[in-house]
Amino acid sequence: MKLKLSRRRMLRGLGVSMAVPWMESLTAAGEPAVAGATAAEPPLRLAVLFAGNGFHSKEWWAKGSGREMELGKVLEPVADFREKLLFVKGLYNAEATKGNIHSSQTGNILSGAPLASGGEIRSGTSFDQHLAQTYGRGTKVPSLVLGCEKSNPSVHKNYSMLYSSHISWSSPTTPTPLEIYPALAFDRLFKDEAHAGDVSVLDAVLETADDLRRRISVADRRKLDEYLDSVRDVEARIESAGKKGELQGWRPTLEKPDIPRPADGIPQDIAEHMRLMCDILVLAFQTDTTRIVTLKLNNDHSALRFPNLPRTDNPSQGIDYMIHHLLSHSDGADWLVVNRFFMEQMAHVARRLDAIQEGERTALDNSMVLMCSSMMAGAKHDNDQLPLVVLGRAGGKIETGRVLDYTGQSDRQMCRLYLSLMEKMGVREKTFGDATTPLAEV
Amino acid sequence: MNRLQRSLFGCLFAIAAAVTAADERSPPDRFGGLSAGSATQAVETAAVNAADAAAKPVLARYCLDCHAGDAAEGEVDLSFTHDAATLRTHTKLLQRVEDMVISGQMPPPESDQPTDEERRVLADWLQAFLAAEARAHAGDPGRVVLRRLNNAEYTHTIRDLTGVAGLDPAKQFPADGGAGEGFTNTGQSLVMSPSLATKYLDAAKGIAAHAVLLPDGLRFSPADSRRDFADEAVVRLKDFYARSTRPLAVTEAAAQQTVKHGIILDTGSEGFLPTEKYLLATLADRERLAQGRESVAAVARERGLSPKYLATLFTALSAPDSTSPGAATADGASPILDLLRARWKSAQPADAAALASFVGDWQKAVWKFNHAGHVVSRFGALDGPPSWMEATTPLVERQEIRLKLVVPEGSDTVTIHLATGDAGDGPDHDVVVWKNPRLVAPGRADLPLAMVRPLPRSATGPLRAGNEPSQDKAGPANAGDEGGGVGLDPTLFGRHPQGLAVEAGDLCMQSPGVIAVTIPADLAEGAEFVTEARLHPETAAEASVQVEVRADATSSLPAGGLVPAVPVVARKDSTAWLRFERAFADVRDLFPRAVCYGRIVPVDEVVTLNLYYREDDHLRRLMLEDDETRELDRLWDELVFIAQEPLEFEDAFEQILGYASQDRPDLVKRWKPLKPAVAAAAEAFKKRLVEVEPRHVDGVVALAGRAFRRPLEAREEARLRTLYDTLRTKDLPHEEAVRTLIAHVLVAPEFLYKLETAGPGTDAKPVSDYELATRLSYFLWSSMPDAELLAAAESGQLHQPEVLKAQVRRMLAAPASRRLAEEFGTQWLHVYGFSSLDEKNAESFPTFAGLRADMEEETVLFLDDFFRNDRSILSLIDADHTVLNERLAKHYCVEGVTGEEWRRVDGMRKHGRGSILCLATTLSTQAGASRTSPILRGNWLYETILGEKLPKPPKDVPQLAETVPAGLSERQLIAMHSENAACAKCHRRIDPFGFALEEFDAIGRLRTADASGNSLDTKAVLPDGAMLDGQESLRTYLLGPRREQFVRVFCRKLLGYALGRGVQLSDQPLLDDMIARLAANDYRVSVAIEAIVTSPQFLSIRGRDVADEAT
Repeated sequence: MKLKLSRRRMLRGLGVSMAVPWMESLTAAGEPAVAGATAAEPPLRLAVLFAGNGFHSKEWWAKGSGREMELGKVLEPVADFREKLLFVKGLYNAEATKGNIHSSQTGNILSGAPLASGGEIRSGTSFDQHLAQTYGRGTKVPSLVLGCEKSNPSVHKNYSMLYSSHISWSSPTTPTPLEIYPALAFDRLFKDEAHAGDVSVLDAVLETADDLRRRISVADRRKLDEYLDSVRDVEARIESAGKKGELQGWRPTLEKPDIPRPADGIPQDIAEHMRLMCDILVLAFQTDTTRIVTLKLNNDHSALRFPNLPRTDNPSQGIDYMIHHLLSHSDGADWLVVNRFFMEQMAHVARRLDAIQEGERTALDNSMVLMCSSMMAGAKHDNDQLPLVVLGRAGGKIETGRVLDYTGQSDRQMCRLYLSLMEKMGVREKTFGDATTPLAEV
Repeated sequence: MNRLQRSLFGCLFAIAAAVTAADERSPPDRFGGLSAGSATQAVETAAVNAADAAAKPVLARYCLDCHAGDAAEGEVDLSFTHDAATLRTHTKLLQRVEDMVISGQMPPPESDQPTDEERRVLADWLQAFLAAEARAHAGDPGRVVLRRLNNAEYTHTIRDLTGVAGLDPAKQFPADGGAGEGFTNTGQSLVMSPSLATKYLDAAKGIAAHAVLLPDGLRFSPADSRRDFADEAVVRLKDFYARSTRPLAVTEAAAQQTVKHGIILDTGSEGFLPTEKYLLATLADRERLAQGRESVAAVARERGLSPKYLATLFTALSAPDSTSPGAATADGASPILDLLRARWKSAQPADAAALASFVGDWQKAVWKFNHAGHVVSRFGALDGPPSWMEATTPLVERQEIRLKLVVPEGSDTVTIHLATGDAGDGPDHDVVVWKNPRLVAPGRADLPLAMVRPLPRSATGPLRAGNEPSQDKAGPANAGDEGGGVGLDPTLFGRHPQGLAVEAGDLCMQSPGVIAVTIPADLAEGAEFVTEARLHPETAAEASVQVEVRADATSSLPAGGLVPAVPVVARKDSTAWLRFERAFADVRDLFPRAVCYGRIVPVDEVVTLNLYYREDDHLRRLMLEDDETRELDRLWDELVFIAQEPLEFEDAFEQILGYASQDRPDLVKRWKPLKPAVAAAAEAFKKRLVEVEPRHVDGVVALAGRAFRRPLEAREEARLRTLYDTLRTKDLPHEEAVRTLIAHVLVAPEFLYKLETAGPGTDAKPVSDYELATRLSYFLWSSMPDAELLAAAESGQLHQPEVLKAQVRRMLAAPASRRLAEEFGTQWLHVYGFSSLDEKNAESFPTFAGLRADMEEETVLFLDDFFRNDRSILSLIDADHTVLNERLAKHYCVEGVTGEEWRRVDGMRKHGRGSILCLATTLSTQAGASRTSPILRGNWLYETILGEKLPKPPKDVPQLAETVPAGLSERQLIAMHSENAACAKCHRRIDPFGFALEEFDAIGRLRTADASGNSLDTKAVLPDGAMLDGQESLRTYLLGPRREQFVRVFCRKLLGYALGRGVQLSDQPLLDDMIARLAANDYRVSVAIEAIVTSPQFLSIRGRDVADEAT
């Protein structure tokens, strides 16, 4: 143990630290390798990308299979990966069709849970966060929850706009805060925030917990526990900094970041912002710092504009109007441009991952990259079925190059897909959200 | 009832959608002591029962066909209505049913319709039941989810806690969400996660880095390094000094500089006595000052002067002549002050500058400056200047004179004047001997002045010495040859005016007088005139004179005067000598040139032996009262402590020795012996550092009490101290341990969360006075309670209504109440964070981005004025003023507002301003990126301002183009959309409001045509028949038929914000009461605020064991 301490100290002394995922020296020093950790297998990763307000109603489609698969114009940016692509049609979240438009279509997209209205906040733990709390325990950072648009503070039509801004939920009452600063997302992965007194500081917080819990109401205890659990989590992370590698047995293809820490602040240009976040996602996978990343490209009911993209009717001007209403509701040519811009982010992630060789496969083969939205078409606010496309083969566990169509079937819950995906990562649940069986075809 | 007008649309599906399982749960039944009296309840129960009997058959006939059992339409199962007991657990659903029945949305058109009478019966029953329920639970504190400080509260609290306004620790925190009534201070929306906890920890450590460790505790600084802390301590001292002193003017300061080896050596230009200000006060306020001490204090206060020094100066100046302010001289005279007094007595205020100049000349004569960096007095006996400012006494027994002779261009002679003055005390005994006056030139023998003779015209060749004496027997004063003769009458030499013996070459004369001597150019060339002036030993033993030799005829020595520019010559220890010594000392005592070394950090020498130099004895002696001196001592001690000066100096000293050894081995030799003293000082300081360590831990304990917003319990304090000890045992140095301890306090849940102790069981109980203080200050200030509010809590009186109201008044008047406008106001109006609103097309509205911050500020200031000045809630709609600066005034086309600063501007209605309806923020937010949106504006008015609810829009709504198709006006475009039958249900409710506001463009400017150039049509008719036309008509409408509703929604929002939760049925009686009280009190907003803070909801907390509705 002494050896470990001094190594951590040494890393800290170098001023740069990161997850050091394997430690031959330590193993050599007599620590037995953890049972079941097979060093050869690359891990599975999950990335969920989300773009709010749906897609162009006529151009989101796929047919055929494999190399011959045909894609609608929205999906063209990922055409290179059609053999590693799974187009899933017809799934939906029943609960999301019950409330209002927008907010109540988004807050439960990854959980299928009912949403509370009237100023209350309650959804369900999303499947990415469920994975973070199980599968994600194996990495330095259990999951990264990123966004490119600030969350909206208001209450809209009796539903908190937190629902529009958060697809990841750590618990039914806790939307996972989004990191929208690229530099801070980078720090979360690679900065060693441990400081000599940190553990003591956090220990002392936990010490008071019992006293505090006794005096407050039963209901408040739950809220306080949200904090205490977070503190415990941070503490555990500090204490185990650098220890993970030896448990994982997987040697990542990249030992330390190969891009510089992004500049502080939020990039002015939305394209640059999204690109940075995508790069951080890839970097996180490549260094095996985390295996679960959620990236919300924009909010549902978003206020983004796209002056960087040329208008179709006048290319000298940008698409400088709000995505919500005036753009997404129109189904026009500009909307298609914006849709493709979102899909290009996904293509970028796929391209980068596919360039990383991990044994016989690429990192994309060992990943599942989802693109989803809160509704099918912004013009209709319809979520009777949801747009969904998956890139990557889950280490060969998903047969790709296919179109799956569940339209008209009775058990077409989106949560069935989540059960399937979780199963790929070794997390087998009997039920999730409103689903009890995984999708056999996936 | 207004409710009748509400929600006339929607469909059953909308109820089903909006009503979730949670909505159906009603608040728990028991709120001990807070529910309505049982007698009232009995009456109500009877009324409800009667209505019940009549209504139940109607309900059964028209509703339960569809809404019962497992297959209930829209998942709304009303079968619970059979049972009186279950009825009470479904109040939220029944509120919805009431809306549907009253608005006629239910039963649906295709079903059997009840008669008007049946509908009325049903409505009466629902209303009576719900009203009774509301009253039964009135005052229920409700379920307030434990609240974390939101980002704004956290930021304000950190700033108030540390006293550092510039800290912005939450800058990169995730944005807060809204819940409850739509505010970010609601527990449900204030989430936590490991990544956020990490941010709090990092922020806490960052804030702790701003802590400055002081000899007696802690404070916080905008900076976070020792170097900056020390600089701040220097600034504090400089500020202290600057209060009592003046800096030198640029020219004076330049005169203070000397240049050595090309380096400007500055002896300091700060800390000088502001003589003129004081003299002016003594002249201008002469009468009041003569009245005595109180007036002195008053005058000093008015003029920002030291009462102590003003009194001293006034006494000295108004004293009779020849009375020294200090000990009396031998003969009681003080020649210089006497001169000043004489001038002062006849002076007017306008003469202050002249008097100051007179004093200044004398100050320069009696003081000189050294380089502060060279002063080594702190080490005891060592060569070097004793102080920065050093006393000089311009008093000599003999005055040597050397004057370089310069022959004026084109002249063959040069004339010098040997002048004597009587030093202002009369000519008695004043016999001056000019010893051996001579011309001295290199390479030549000295030529005594007595030998300088006019050359005979015949003479040729070199000068002949020893020529014949002149026949002119005139006195020495007239000596010389007016016709161009040179030299002096030889008989003048070696002769005493009274005939006594004098050495041959000496020139002896009675003072005052002038001897002019003309010297031929060839003798003067390259020569100096040298002599020494003395008093004649026998006849002038008690004399005092001033002498000078000048090339020009205008002597500075007036007959019968004393001048500061030249020394006084007297015989040592003579009466005259002692008198002048005293006179100079008097000037120094009363008029030190500088009262302190205001620069503090010597920069006047390359090598300095003082990192910080203190010299302020005159300031303390003349100007400071005892408490001020103590404060000054404390500031100095802080500086030394913060800078760790003895330790720093020990390092610096070694470096100085090393540096000096290169070219000044002599200095090294001189300074080396200081080493033990330097080391000893450092050692002593280290010991002191250890001794004061507990003070810093005490400081954190005190900080924790403030951070937790209540006194610490003994074991909480013990825990903090234990943590400190633990940190020390982990090899953290003291300072780091203290900072870590601070970080702990700032991540403690007691700080980050508004923890409140709930009572046992399920009964509500009053919150403690400390908890109440926290509720109050976060409501009104978005921050922690200040000392006064905590004191009120400590006294145990805060919960008393009068005390509470007094605090509310005080707090609303304080600057921090602006945050009520910032947080509540802008969130209520949906313009929160407007300054970063990035939704406008930059090409259509190029000025928008640059105006956003101004637009937001107007809204905040308008609302701030509303709260701070207790205005009518109605004025939010119909005010005739707004708050503008030049930029925004230009945006609004309002003339006559210039400059950056914000001011209230009246008469704004004629410009279409002065209402929340016409703010650039609200108008811009509720508009598109490049055009207006009557729909958004109308919806905002309908839902946000009037609190109405629209049903969910139908699916597949056809959408509007971003740009208006040719040939259509914007309004026609909207009308086209709204004509769709499915859409019209809602749009006829909301669009008219938006049309009325069409006179404003998408960034809030008044306009006469829409973006396509079509003329505006601001006329519209509401479903209730009201005709609208422009924003003025909206004001009339809102404050007419909709007045109560507008006020009710405002109160509801304010209540929800104050409580941090959604408003519930049991709050209705409070809202009713608020509205009644407002109507009787001109709708002043303080009435609403007071009603809230004195309500049981605000004053109490639900019992600990009330089940969580959110499970």
